[in-house]
Amino acid sequence: MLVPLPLFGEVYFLQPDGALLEATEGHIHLEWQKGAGPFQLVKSRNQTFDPAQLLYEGPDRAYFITGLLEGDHFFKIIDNNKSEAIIRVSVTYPARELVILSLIIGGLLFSSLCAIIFMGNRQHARTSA
Amino acid sequence: MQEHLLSIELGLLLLVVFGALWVGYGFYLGRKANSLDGFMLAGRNVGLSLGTATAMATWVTSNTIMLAPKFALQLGVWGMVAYSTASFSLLLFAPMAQRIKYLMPHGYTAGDFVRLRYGKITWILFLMISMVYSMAWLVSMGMAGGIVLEALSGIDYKIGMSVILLVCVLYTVFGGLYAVIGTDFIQSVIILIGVVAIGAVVITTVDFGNIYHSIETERPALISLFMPVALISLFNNMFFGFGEVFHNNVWWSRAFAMRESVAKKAFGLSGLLWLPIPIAAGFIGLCSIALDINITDPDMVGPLVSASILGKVGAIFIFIVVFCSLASSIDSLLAATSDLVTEDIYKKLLNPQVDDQALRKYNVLIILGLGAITWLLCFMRLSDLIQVLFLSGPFVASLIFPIVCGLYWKSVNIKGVNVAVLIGSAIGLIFYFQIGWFIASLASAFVSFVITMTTTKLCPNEYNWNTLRSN
Repeated sequence: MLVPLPLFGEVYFLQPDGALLEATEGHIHLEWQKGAGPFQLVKSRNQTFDPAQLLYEGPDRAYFITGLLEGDHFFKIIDNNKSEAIIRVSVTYPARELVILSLIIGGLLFSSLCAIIFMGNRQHARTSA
Repeated sequence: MQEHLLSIELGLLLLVVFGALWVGYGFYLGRKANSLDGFMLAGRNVGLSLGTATAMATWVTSNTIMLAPKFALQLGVWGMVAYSTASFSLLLFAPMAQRIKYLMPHGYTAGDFVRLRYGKITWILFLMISMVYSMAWLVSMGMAGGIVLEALSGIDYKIGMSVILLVCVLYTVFGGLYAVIGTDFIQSVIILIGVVAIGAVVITTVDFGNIYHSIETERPALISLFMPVALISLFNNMFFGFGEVFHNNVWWSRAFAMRESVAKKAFGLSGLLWLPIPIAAGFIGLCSIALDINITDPDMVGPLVSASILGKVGAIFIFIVVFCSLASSIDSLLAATSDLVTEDIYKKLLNPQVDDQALRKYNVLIILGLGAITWLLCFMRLSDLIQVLFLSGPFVASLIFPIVCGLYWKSVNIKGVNVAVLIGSAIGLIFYFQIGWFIASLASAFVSFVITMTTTKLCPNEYNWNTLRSN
């Protein structure tokens, strides 16, 4: 998606990659520049922003959004109805298989660690008694 | 832009009052720290209440107060649980502390154990990992102090950071581990009261239904049973914690300092007391959504929510609790790291003939030197230094099974341990950069576990425990 350069004074998102961001952990720190405020930050699951959800209204120039579900999310910053900018955030979580594997390995390692320590201490109690 | 929660004048007043309190109390406690054992290990006579308090307070760092709310805000309920698994480190170290006291009644440092148990090569690997980790932790605490005080009250970063470091260096130099443990006791009480009080007010002020509804509407992944990164980080965080506690001299020096009958109970109790703190702090972070507070800086979510509900009182509570958590960790790191440098590097490598009184004096100089290096690195405010702490996860996690198995099994293969630490660390680093921080420590611990177990099973050694007891 081509992103037109912002005109002088127009608000724009301060992100290095322009219009597309990727988030593997479901959270993103949005910042915007220029514009005079107050600002409205709006979120939607599609580019037409229909339906849209108002996340923030006020003078701040940043917003930390977390807990995003997997897929594309669109954010629009509106500067007092004068100018606006849109950004797309693509949330891709690690694969389900990696999650399950890490839980299994973690559980095995934890059990092994507990077994070594508690059996070792039981042996220690017997020999030092 | 969010304004400071406290005025500079109030911030400076709190800094001066509590700073003077810690230095004065440390000076008072330091009257007993004349001998080397007194200075480094508080006379090896620490009782249950002080032992519990010092272990708990040291593990409550500014990360616990500031990072736990951020963790919950980023990763939801599973994130809160993942953070609280760090309490398991203290709980599992409890029986290990008892074993350490039995095996090494005259021991001084974790380095002593590694050197006597595994030999020089493993000892050097261990020292490299431990020194880098300890310095990274020390610098991250120093920087956090300056950053937090500046964010809360507008006190210039360099001034806030310098005052915190100076206070900690002074009472550690005056009083050694007596001062560290004594001040930890008071700091732990303040931390517990502060966090519980803030958590209690938040619970009574904010409606649970409202919290749930706002998260479900705006941040649904935070309450998802299958939040992928949070679930992966569950065991990763746990093993990062195991690596930190099981290897670091901060905890071993406490084990050596406690009475033998007390060590297991003290660490066990401290783990139980620590467990609710990240849960309470995390809950505070999740409340920010229901309270409609715009978090422009995720590191400040804890203080912002507290101030929003409690006003200036909440901000003062947070300021004091953060100062206490920083001081309780920085003093422990200074003492334990200087012990490692004094005992392992200076005495064992450079000057084996040095007597105890001279060693005590060198220990003081080393604390001053560490304080100066830390201050300089903090002054430069290199954000990359914080990354060093996170990167240390794979390295410390690779030490878990070598240390635990080394405490209980005679048969551990020494060459296998060296390979386990090296390859475990390398694999962990690869996972860190290729997949993410949330799996690096687990990967390292797993590889180290496999190599340690396999080599021990195939080529068992035969170790004489008396080597540890008699040194």
